[in-house]
Amino acid sequence: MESYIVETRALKKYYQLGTNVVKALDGVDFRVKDQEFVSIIGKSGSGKSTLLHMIGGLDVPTEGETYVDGKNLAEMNREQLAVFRRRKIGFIFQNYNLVPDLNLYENVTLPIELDGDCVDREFIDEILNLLKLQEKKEALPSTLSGGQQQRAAIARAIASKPSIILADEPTGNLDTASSHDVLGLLKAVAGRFKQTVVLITHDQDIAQLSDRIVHIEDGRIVRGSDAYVGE
Amino acid sequence: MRMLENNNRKIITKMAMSSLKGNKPKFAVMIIAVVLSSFMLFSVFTVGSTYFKMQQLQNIHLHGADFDAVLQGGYSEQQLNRCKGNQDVRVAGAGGYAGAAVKTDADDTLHTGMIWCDETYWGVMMKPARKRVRGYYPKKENELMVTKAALKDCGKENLDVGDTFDLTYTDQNGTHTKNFLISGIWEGYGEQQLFYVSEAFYKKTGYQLNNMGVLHVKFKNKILTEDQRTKFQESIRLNKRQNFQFTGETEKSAGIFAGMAGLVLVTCLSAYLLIYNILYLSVSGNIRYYGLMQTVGMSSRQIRRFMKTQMMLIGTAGVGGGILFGFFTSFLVIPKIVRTLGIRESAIPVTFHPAVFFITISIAGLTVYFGSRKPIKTAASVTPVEALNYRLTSAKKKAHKTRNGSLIWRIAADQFFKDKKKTGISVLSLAASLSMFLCLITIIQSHGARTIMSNYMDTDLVVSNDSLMKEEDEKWKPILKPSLVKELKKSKDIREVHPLLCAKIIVPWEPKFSDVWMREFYERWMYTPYKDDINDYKKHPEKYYSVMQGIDKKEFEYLNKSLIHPVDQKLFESGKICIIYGPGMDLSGEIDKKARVKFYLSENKNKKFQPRIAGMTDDSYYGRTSGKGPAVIVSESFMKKYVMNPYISKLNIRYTKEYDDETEDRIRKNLSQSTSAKDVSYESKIDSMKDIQKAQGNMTGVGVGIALLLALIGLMNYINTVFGNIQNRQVSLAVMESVGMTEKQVKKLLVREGLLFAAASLSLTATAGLFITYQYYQTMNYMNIPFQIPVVPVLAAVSSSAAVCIGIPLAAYRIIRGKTPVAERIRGFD
Amino acid sequence: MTAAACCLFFVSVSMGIKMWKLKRDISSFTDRLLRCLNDMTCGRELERLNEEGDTLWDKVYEKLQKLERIWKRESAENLEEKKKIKSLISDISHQTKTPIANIKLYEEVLLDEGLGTAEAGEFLQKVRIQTEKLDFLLQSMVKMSRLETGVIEVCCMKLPLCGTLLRAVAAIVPKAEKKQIRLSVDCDEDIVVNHDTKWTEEAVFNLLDNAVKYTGRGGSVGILVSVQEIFTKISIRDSGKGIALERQAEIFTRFYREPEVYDQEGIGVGLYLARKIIALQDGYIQVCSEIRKGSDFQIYLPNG
Repeated sequence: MESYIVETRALKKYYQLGTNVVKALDGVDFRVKDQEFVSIIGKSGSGKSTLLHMIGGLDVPTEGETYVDGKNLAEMNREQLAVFRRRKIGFIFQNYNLVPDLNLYENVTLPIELDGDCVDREFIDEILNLLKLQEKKEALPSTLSGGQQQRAAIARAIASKPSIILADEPTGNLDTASSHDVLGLLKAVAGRFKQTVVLITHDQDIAQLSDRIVHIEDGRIVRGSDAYVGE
Repeated sequence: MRMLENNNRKIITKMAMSSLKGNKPKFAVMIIAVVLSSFMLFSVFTVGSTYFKMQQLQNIHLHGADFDAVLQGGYSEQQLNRCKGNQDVRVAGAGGYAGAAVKTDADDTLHTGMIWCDETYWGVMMKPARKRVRGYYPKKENELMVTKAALKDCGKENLDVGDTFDLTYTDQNGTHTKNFLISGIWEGYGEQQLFYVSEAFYKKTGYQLNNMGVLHVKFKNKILTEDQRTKFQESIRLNKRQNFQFTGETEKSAGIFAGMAGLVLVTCLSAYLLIYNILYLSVSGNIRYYGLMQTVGMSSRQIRRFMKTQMMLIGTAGVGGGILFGFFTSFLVIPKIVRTLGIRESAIPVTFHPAVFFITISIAGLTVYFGSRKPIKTAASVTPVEALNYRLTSAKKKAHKTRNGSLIWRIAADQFFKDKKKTGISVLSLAASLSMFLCLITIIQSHGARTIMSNYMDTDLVVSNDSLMKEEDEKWKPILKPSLVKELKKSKDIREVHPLLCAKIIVPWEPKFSDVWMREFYERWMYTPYKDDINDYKKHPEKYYSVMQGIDKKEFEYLNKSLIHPVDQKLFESGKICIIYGPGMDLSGEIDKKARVKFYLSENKNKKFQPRIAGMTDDSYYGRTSGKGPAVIVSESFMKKYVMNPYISKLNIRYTKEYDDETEDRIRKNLSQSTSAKDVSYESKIDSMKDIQKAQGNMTGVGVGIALLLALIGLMNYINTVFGNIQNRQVSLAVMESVGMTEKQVKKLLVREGLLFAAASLSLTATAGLFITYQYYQTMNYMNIPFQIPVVPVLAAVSSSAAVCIGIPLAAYRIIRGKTPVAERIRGFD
Repeated sequence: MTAAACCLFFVSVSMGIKMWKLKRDISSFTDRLLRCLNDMTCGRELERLNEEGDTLWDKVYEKLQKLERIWKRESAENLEEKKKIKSLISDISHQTKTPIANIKLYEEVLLDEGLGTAEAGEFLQKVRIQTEKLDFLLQSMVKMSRLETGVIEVCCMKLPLCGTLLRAVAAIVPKAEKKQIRLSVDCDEDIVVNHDTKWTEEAVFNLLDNAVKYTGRGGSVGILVSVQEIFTKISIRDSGKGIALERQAEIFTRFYREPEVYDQEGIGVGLYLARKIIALQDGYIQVCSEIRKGSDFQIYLPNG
C-alpha cells in the first residue's frame, strides 16, 4: 500500500444559503501521491475550490477528514493551521497573490520569513532565474504584468519548499500565451524541486500538462478518482 | 511545557514598516491625530502643573508661608489636635499675636509687631517663603528673630545676629522695656516688620491662643471638593467668633481642574474616535489582505502583532512628536495662559513635571490602544475563506418597504442610517469639537462682561487724592482743588465731573450705634479684640476718626439705585439722613431704623451732627480711608454748608467720547505737574479695558486654538468616514449612474447626506453640548452673570461646519470618481 | 530612592527567572533534538509528536521530518528501481540469448561447411541483423546504466536549435524511409536556444523514434519550432494512432510500454529519458493526443 501526501475521506461541506442547503462537497475521496501533478477539472460551482480550501486548511469540512502529509487537519486550531500552511502548503490564486507593500523579492521570501527561517538566497535566486524574474527583484507588485505576478506567486509558493503546492485557477486572468508559460514554468519548477502540485482549472487544455486529471461535478468526483484502485 | 518561541518577529516589524510606508496618507492622518492629542494633553497638563506650582508660589510669597486655609480668632488645643489628626491635613501650624514694639532709643514710632509661632509653622510652613536664615528661632525669653526691615523700623539696621538692644513693647499686661538678643535674622517673602519671639516670651505676654491664636492648615490634596471642605469645617467645630477661610486660589483651582479634566476627556475621546474610525475603515477595506496573509501562513497572532507594531510605531511617533511640539511651544504659550488664569508673579518658569510626560504618554498610549483594540481583533479573526469571497459590502440591510417622499432624500437618509456605528462616531466627533467651541466661547465672552461690569458708575477715570489716606492730619493735602474741578467742567471733551468731598470727623463712643459698629468692625477686620481697645476708644475717640463724604445729585441717584431700600432724596439733601459705608459689614440686625450716627468735625468739635442712618453701602468707591470709624455719606450741599473747605478725595470723570485717550492723557499730564503728583492715583477705564483686552485676547486665542485643534481632529474623522463611505459605495453610485442618475443628482444626494451629518452633529451640540456648557458655566459663575450664548461666533461655527459637512463629500466624490468610466466603476476593483 | 531600589530588585529578579526559564527551555530543546537525531542515525522512526505550533522546536522538528521522508522515499525508490532493473536485465539477457545463439549457429554453419559465396553472404546478412539487434540491446544497456548512475550531465550552450534538430532527424531518416513516412522540419535558422546539443538531440531522437514507431506506413511526422515569451516550443506531431487520455500521463514513466506494442523492440525508456533530459535543462514535455488523430509531443525549452 502506497502512502499519499494528500488524502481526503468522505469529505462533505454544506453551506446554508438563504433557505437552500448548498452541497459544495458531497463525499469526496481524493488522494494525491508524492510528487504528482494533479489537475482538478470542474465547472464553476462544482466544488473544486472548496476541495482545495479543505486541503489547504483554509476551510473546515462539515464532515469527513483531511490528511496532509500524515496530519489530520481537523485536529488543528486556527493558529496551528496557519503555521501548517506556512510550512507545508504553497498557494497560488487567480488574483489574490502578492502583498502590495512588499517588493517582489520580499513577497517571495515572505513565508520563509514568517517562519523565522533563514532565507536560502542561492535557492531563491535559482527560482527567480528559472521564472525569469531576476530583473524584477526590486519591483513592487503594482508594476508587474499579470504573468509576472503569477510567476512571482509560483516563486513564493515554492520558496519555502512546501510539501504541496495548491493552485486555484492560477491563469484565470491571463491570456492564453502567458497562461501556457506560467503553467509550463510551474510544471518545470515543480518537477525540478520534486513538489506535489494540485491544480484547479476549468480548462481541459491546461489540465493536459498534469500527470493525472480528476473531474469534479456537483461536489463529487466523477472520473479519475479511482486511478489508484487495484495498485 | 513552554517551548522556545519561534524567532519570527523581525519580518513582522519589517512588514509593519513597509505597510506604513505604503499607506502614507492614512497613517499620516493617524499620526497627526496622535500628535495633536498628545500635544493637547501635554499642554493641558503642563499648564496645570505650572499653574498650580505658580499659584502655590504666589500664595507663599503673599502670605509668607505655605498653607491652604487659615483659622482666625483663636483656636483651642482640641482644634489643633483635630487638625493635626485629620487624614486630609498634611501639616497644621500655629501662630499668635505677641504684642507690638513701641520704641527703642533710636526711634519712638515703631510699626513692628511681635509674633510667636510654633515649630511647625516656622520650620515647615514658612520655610519655602524664606530665602536665607542665619541663627536660630528664639528659645529664650529675651531672644528675637528679626528681619532687616524690622530692625530698620527700630533704627537698628546695623545690628546683626548675636547683638543686643533695648526695646519697649506693649502686650496684654502693659508696656515693658527689655534687653533683647538677636538670635537670628531671615530674608524672604511675607510680612517683614515683625519680630518673632520665643514661646517663653509669649507665655508671659498674657495673650491667649484661645482668642488671639491663628491656625494655618495645609492639606494633602491641592484640590478639595466643596463637600470635603464643609466636612472639614464641621470637624473642627468652629465657635461663633472663629473664622475659617480657604485661600481664594484653592477655590478657583477646583474649577480650573475640572476644566482641565474636561479638556483631557474630550481630547482623548476625539483621538480615540479618529483612531478607531481610521483603523476600522482600513481593516474592513483590507479584509482580503489579511486573508491573503493567512493563506501565506501568517497566524492570527502574527497579524495581531503586525497591527500592534504598526500602532506602536504610530503611537511612538505621534506621542513623541506631540510632546516635542508641546515642549517647544509651551515656552511661548504657557506663561501667557497661566497669567490669564490669574498668576501675577513676574517670572513664570514653565514647569515640566516628570509625571506630566508619564501621564501624557500613558493616556495617549491608552487612547491608541483602546482605539485600535477592536479593529485588531476584527483583523485577526478574519478567516481566509471569508476573505477570499469578500467584497466590500457595508452593514447588512434588512428588506424594507419603499417609503414615500423624495427619492434623493430617501436614499440619503438610508445611507445615513445604514451604518449607524460609523455615522455615530463621526457625528459624535464633530459634536465634541463643536461643543467644546461653544463652551469655551461662552465662558470667555462672559468672562469679559464680568470684568468690565466691576467699574464704578461706568466712568472713564477716577482720580484719587491718596494723601487723605494718611493718618496724620498735617499730611493731608488739598491736591484736587475746586479750581481744577471748574477747569475740567469747562472742557468740552469732558461731559461730567463729580467730586467726592471729604472731611475728617470723629465719632465718639455711644452705646447705640458707634459701639455696635466698632464691635462688628473689630470682629471683621482687626486681629485684636474690641474689648482691649474699648476704653481707649472711649477716652480718645480722635484716634478712631473717620470721614464724612459728600456726593452730588447724580452720584446719589446712582448710589441710591444700588441700595436695597432706597432712601428719600429730599431728606438726604437736607442732611437729615445719611448713608454709612461699611466694608463687608451687615448691621441690619444690630441697629434699628431710627439709629443715628453722632459725630463732630475733627477741625471743630462744636459742629456736631446726628443724621439718621438710612442705608448702608458696600461700594469700595467710598472706602480707602484709614480710620476705624464709620464713613458717613451725605449730600454735597449739606457738606458745603457746614464744612469750610472740604477736601476733594476723588474725582469721578466721564468723557464726552468714551475711551478718549487724548483727554485722559491731558488730565494726567496736568495733575502730574503738581508737586504732590506722587499722591495721586488713577483708576482708568481705558487701562482696565486694555488689561481685559489683553487677558481676553489671550484667553480667546487659547480657546480658539483648543477648539481648532479639536475641530481638526473631528474634521479628519469626518473626512475619513466620508471617503470610506464613498469608496464603499462606488459601485452602487455607478449603478445609479448607469440607470440614468445624472452627476448633478448624485451631487444633490451627497449634499443631502452632508446636511444630515451637519444637522445631527449640530443638534447633538445644541442639546448635550449646551447642557454641559450650561453646567460648567454655572460652576464657574461666581458673579451670577446671566447665561448667554455669543451669537456671532456660534453662528459662524454653525455655518462653517455645515459648509464643511457638505463640501467634503463633494470633494471626496470628485477625487474618488476621477475620470473612470461608469462600466469600470460598476465592476469595482480589487 | 527606595522606589528605584525596589524597581531594580524587581527587574533583576524577573530577569533571573527569565534566564532560568531560557536555560531550561534550551536544554529541553537540545534533548529533544538529540533524541531525534539518535533515532535517525539508528534508522528508527522519528517519535511522533503532534504539535504544529509556532515554536523553534516545531520548526526544527518539521524539517527533520521532511528530511526523514526524503530519505525514506529515496531508499524506497532505489529499491523499486533495483527490482525493475533486475527484471530488465533478466529480460535483456533473455533477449540477447536468442541473437547470440543464432549468431553462434550461423557461425558454425559458416565455418563447418564450405558454402557458396551467395549462401555465405546470406548467412552473413543474418549475422549482421542479429548483431544489430545485439547492438541495440547493448546500447539500451548503456543508457540504462547511465540512468542508473544518475549522471546525465548537461552542458548548455547558446547554439542554433536547427542543427540539433537536423542531426536527430538525420538519425531517424533510415527508419522512416523503411516505413515510408514523410518527415518535415519547420525551424527558423535564427532561433538560438541555450541547450545541450548532444542530449537534446537524443531527446528529440527518442521522440521521433517513438513517433515513427507508432505511425503506420505512409504517415507523416513533422517538427515545428516556435518561440514564445519564455519558452521555445518544439512540437513533434505524428499521424499515428494517438494515446488515450488516461494514459497520457503515464507514458513518461520509466519502463512504460504501450500494451499493444509489447512485441516490438524497445524497453520503454525513450520517453522517460527524453523528459529527464528536458527537465534537466529547465524545460518540460507535454503531450496532446487524441485516439486515431495522432499525437503532438511538445518540448519546451527556456529561451535565452
